[in-house]
Amino acid sequence: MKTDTGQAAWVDTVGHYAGAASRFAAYAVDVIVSWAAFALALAGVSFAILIVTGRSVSWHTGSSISAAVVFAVWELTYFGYCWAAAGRTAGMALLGLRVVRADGTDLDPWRGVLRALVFPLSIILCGLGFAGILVQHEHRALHDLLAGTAVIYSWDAAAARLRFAAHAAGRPSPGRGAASPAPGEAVPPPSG
Amino acid sequence: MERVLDLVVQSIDVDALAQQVDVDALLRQVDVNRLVQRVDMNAVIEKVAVNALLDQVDINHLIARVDIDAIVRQTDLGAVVSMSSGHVAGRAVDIVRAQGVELDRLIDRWVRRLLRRKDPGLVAPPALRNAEAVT
Repeated sequence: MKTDTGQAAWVDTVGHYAGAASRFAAYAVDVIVSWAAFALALAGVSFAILIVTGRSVSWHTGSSISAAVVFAVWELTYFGYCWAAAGRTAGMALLGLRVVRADGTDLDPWRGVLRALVFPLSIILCGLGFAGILVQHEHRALHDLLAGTAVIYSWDAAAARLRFAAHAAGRPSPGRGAASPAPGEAVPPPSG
Repeated sequence: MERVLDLVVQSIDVDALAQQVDVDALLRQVDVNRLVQRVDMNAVIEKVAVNALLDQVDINHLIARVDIDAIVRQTDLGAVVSMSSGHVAGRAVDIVRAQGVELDRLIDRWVRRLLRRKDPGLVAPPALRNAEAVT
């Protein structure tokens, strides 16, 4: 997809409100990352208990409720810390998204924590809290409205476009083959 | 004496006089190179207010007209970019992000059509919108 000036449309979207697909993909990545980290930590704790006490611990029996509580706290910590410290989680960093205040200025740490605290509300209401991402003018979910935040595209799209152009021009760096065309870019005629 | 001069000047038909002058022949006799050599270019440049001149140039408009793809194709800039930024993971991330934005735009278009929204909507938060307007 190209604009009238021949420029890929996504280059101009940096700083704009992020849409549903990117945000959902970022959330999916975060769920996987946080869950994997939690499972690793749990395995580490189990191993430590086994080494120290000689008894193996199963998290799937009587202590499943406590494990669920710990998991909930972990999720809160993961999202809260990431938003408070950097304004983005691992998934958001991967998808090039960032949480900002509703007016577009940088997020205050406490607002990041507040966003994490109210985030479950969007899930609890049968996921309806997320509908705002689709239908609201500013693509803000319920937890965004409550915490006074918004999610924007924040990545170096101009540099990415240059990289795509470099690959499409058929000048790969040593050790790599000729590149495929970039998304939204026209395929240039073969040079030489 | 002045009165006489005034009368003489008034009686001259300047237009008719100018028509009789062969300007081309006159210009042919002018040695432009010699003329230019006598001009102190440094003094001329010093008199030019470069900053005022640059203020009037719309840099963004100029940059928008630059065909980056063509520059990359025709120069070694592409190789430099590839070598400086290039690993497969980085490229994969670029693709994921770009595809995500394209998909977002597609979904947004469908939702707007479904909700019969005519207005273009807000594309950026106020602070970032203002920053865009400035740059």
